[in-house]
Amino acid sequence: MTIDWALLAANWPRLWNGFLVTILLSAIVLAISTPIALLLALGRGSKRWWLAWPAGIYVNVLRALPALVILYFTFYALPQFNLPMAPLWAAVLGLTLASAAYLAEDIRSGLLAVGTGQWAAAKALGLSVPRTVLRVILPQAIPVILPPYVTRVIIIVKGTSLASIVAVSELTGEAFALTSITYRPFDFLLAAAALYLVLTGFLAALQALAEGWLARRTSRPRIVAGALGT
Amino acid sequence: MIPPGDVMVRIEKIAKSYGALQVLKGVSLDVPRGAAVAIIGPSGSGKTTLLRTVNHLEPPDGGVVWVDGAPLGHELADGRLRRGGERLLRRQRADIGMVFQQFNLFPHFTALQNIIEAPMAVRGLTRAAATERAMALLDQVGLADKAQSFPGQLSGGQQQRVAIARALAMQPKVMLFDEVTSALDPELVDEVLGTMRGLAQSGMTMLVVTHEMDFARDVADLVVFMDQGEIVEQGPPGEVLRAPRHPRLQSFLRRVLRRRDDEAPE
Repeated sequence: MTIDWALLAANWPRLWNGFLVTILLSAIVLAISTPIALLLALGRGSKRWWLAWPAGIYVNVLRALPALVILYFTFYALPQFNLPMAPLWAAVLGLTLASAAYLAEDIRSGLLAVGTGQWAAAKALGLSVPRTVLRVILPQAIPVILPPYVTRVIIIVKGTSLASIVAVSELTGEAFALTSITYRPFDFLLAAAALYLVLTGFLAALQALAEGWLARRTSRPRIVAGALGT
Repeated sequence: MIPPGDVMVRIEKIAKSYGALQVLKGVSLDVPRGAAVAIIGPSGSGKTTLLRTVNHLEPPDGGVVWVDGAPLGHELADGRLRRGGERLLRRQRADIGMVFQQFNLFPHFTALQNIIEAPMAVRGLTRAAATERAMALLDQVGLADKAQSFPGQLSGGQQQRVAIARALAMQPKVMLFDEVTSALDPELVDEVLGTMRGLAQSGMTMLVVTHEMDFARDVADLVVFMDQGEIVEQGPPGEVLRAPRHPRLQSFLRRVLRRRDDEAPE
């Protein structure tokens, strides 16, 4: 089996376009779902039942559903209620709803790793909750959140391939479409796989860089005593 | 009842339960302006919980705490108490300094950053003004040369003194100390107690939950003995510690003093 490089080159613009849509879709979904996930994680940890319950129900329902079912909902079911959406936005909505639920749990585990004493100290000083989260809690939680977060991000990026089913011309969709035109599935799926590897490899490299940076920052002995409260 | 002006903290019928367990059974206590009050008692007596209800880190189930004539978490309108919001409580908390057993310094901030954060965020001080105040306080607790150190680079005693400076930077009306020497190595206890002694002498109103009987005897104006969620006995240290009347206080003091004698190396 040889790869038909000429055929691949001829169709490269379409594949590349799909790749860009995949990146765009991933970026939008992550940009929206990450702050929502942070709020959900904080809500679940709240003592106020009217924050904790809805957040808990949201997370447990949305992560229990297949992402594809959610996508079908946003793409096919919403128009039934006179809420038609362009494929890209239906995909953004569906993938964001699902991603926020997963990311919320990853973020929550990091928040829990910061001792309650830090919250108490900030509260006693009169710091507001947003200030406490941004200045006190998150800087200590991020090193804990980072590895599971990046893993989840990679899963989410791969999950954008589902958008091809609701007519979004992203990488998987374009590769598959080219396959049915050229009858060369091997070439085009291999090209798509390579492009996915480039993208997720880039993310993994980012993670390694970030972890290295955080490790250098925390190699000073300060985290040892304070964060564990000893 | 609105307390008179010479009462800095009035704890009025404070009750708190965790499920079926009643931790505080309607505790009342007046802390005079400028007084240092030591709260002693066996573990599980409710003394730490009482302290944490004073700034509502533990919101009480019943009762009211008054600080400098204002009811905490409430607004006083036409002589009646109305529950206020979180914002009001936050403003009032800023006037109540608290120091914790585990220090709870922010580990990713230097000593200086720990101290200036709240004055800048809550009091609206400029960085320059907050830094000037912080450096004066670090000097007061004997740590001016540690301003740029992170908590993890400091000994427990030094961390606790930074924590005291952090609380003082808000210029609080009252300071709460929650077993602040219990997590320290024995040789580091004195430097923290010394700082607290100086603070008491400067006229700061202090509520101190402690196991340090010497501190209660030498520094406190009033000693309060708690057991099983209530105040069993209170009075000047000379009376409460030397001539305890209640059997539960007598047996508590016997236990504490025996333990200390056992530990003291001869």
